[in-house]
Amino acid sequence: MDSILLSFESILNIQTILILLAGVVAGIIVGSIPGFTITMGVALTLPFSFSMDPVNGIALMMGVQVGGSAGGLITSCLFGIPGTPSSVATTFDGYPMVKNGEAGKALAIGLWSSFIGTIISGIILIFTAPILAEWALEFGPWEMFALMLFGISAIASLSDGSLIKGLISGMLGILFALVGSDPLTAIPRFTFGMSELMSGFNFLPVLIGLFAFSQLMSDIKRPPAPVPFNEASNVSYPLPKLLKDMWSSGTNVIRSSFIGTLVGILPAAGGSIANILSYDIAKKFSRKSHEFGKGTKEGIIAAESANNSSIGGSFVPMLAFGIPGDAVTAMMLGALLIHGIQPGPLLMENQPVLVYGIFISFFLAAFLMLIVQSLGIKVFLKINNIPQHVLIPVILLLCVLGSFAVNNRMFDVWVLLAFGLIGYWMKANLFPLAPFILGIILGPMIEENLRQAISVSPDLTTFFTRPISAVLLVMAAASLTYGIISSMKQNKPNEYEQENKESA
Amino acid sequence: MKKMMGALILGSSLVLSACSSAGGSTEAEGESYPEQPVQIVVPWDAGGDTDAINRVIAEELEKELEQDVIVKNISGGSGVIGAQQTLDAKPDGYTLLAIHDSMAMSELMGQADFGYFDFQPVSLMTSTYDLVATHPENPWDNMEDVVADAEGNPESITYAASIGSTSQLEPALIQTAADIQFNIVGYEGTAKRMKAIVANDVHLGSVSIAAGKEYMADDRMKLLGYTGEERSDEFPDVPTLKEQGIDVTSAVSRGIAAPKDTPEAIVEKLSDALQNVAESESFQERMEELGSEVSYKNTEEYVQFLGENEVEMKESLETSGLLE
Repeated sequence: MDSILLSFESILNIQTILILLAGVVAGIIVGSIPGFTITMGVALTLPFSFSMDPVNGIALMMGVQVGGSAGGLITSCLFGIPGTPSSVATTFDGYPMVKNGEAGKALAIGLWSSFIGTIISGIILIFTAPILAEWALEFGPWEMFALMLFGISAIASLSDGSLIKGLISGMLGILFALVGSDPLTAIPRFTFGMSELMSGFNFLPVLIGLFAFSQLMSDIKRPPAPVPFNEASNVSYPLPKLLKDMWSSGTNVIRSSFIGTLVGILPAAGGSIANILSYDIAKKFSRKSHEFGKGTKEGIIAAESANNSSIGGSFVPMLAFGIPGDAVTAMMLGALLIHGIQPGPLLMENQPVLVYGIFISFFLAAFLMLIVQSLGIKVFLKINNIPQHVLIPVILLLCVLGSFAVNNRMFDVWVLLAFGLIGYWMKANLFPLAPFILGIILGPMIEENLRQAISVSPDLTTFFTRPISAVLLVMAAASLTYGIISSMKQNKPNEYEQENKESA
Repeated sequence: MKKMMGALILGSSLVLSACSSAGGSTEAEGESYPEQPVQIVVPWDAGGDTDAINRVIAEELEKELEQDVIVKNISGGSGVIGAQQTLDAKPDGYTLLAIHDSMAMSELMGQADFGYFDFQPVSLMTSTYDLVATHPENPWDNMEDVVADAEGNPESITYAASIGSTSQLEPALIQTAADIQFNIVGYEGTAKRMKAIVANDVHLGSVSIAAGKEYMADDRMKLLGYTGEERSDEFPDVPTLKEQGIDVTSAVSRGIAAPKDTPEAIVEKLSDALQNVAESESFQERMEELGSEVSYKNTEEYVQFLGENEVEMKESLETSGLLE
């Protein structure tokens, strides 16, 4: 108890709160610029954290992470371009909703979903971190393989009508992910002697190329109709109405937050998988699944509460075992290391003040994010009024800068442009992009875990004798069947196709 | 008009002086170096061991050079990508590279077409040894038990390692020295490897001293052997591999290199500054916290060390069958 009080004392001072606030603001900015990821934002703050107290250093990084995850929704909704890799699914319904003239509503619902997701995962984190961490240890290569298989089964339901095209797109994603060093034996694959390709295509330029660059090219060819302007569309959404909306989707919010937290706990899974997985599950559970992809609030809620709650989840293995769950927690552990604090299973015991400080600043970051972003939305809505021909070059420039900044090399900019062309071609021929992204994220993880599992024991029945793995495999099969059946039923052309037909 | 002329003259003189300093003689460069911030490229992710050690080096070096020293992480391809960029950088002493054994490994395994001597080595800074760890539930209490078990059941004991990096060398060397066969399973990166050992997904793996201490205290790992020449002060109870009849020592040796053709005067100045860093109490203290030993070598000694290191690594890769 003493340590909790001490932690409050270490957090609730002007300096720490200002640092946290600075982190949140920086995070929202980084998150909302396509091409800049949360990981990059946190990496930029890492050197500053070395000269601070460990608690302040962590607070700064945490602020960036929480703010960034919420900032990603702005570009996702307004332009249909994921602001960060963990807001891909936010574009599916956020962008259509804005096109329907409900920009204020889309942003407000996204923001509150992010906020509630953060809070729920924080509560789960505080009360069950040690138990959840033991549970996460149950996830060996077998379970991870089964889980990723479950994830990739979403291809069927994210295919937007044409199942075959969805599968082709997903397989293309997996193919591109094969480029680079083999994850287990480090033998170069498909690198054609180019050392730049040794680590494969970086995910960020690929994502930005596919979504942003291709979108901008289509917009140039066929300028989008101006968003119907009415007084209600670009003003902030009234709070009472919003709370009512959130309340009526209570199950969705809670379910998505749990999914996000659980996915976050698992090593290397993270926000981008949580975001898409939760969207897919919400779509399957919904009685109005046909509304998904056309601007339903349920889609935004599922996507945004999941990516924020995955942050809380990623702290579980870090605090319980000193094992980082993703790149951001790895940097946080690095920051502690520099201060001579060895992250490990005794972190909670040896550094209770620090650990509770991390908990408290996580909640504090959520509230700061809500306040800052509520004010920010008014500004961001004005962006929506800027003419496209002014906005597009600016976004494109930011995309190029962000891709360059990934590794400070031009190669990634060329990757961006190349994938922009691929994305443009895919869109023009009605290949859905979501399965491609799913393939490129999950493909390598499926491969790595399958091969690890088989090298440890060549006996394939292990996948069915390990209970969690067996359950997940059954779920994957069910999800795939359900997805195929519902996509076959869904014969009517979707909105995107109609739009293209009109333009043709 | 006068103002404009003034600005013009000022501007052109600035350009001229910039040119002259760029093309100045080597000796002058050595004296005035460094005039601008120095950058250390760490070809690994922020937050890892190599990153932590080099950030401490950068911090201490800043005091010695009285100039900003910035760490820049360019990760990917087992350190090849960042190294490639330094290879192409101007040899002016303002871009340095953090290197360790993986560079020789990458060259020998054909992942990179350059090695230590395509750079100008500056100084060796630290050596880090590892511990062989296992889950407490497993039956072995030391490496002798492991060897006895493996002799009867070849390839039944799994050993996690990042293939293509130095962590792969340890099991490979142990196999050759003890004439046994492990089942070496690829796990990329320390974090995944740690998780696999803690969860008992794999039987054996190498962990750092600092991490090992924590996990052992919490009864999540048993430590079976130490890869150093002598026992570590931190773990007087854990015998070295050599004591257990396995003639293997293995360390990660971290140092600083510059692009080739960096002026001698600058290299010398850097090497001297790094020596002061290595001898400073604060640096030694922080390295102890990070579980690394300070093992400074000046440029000449370091070049010799790297030459020997490369030969040794080639031999061990060949004897362990990783290289034909």
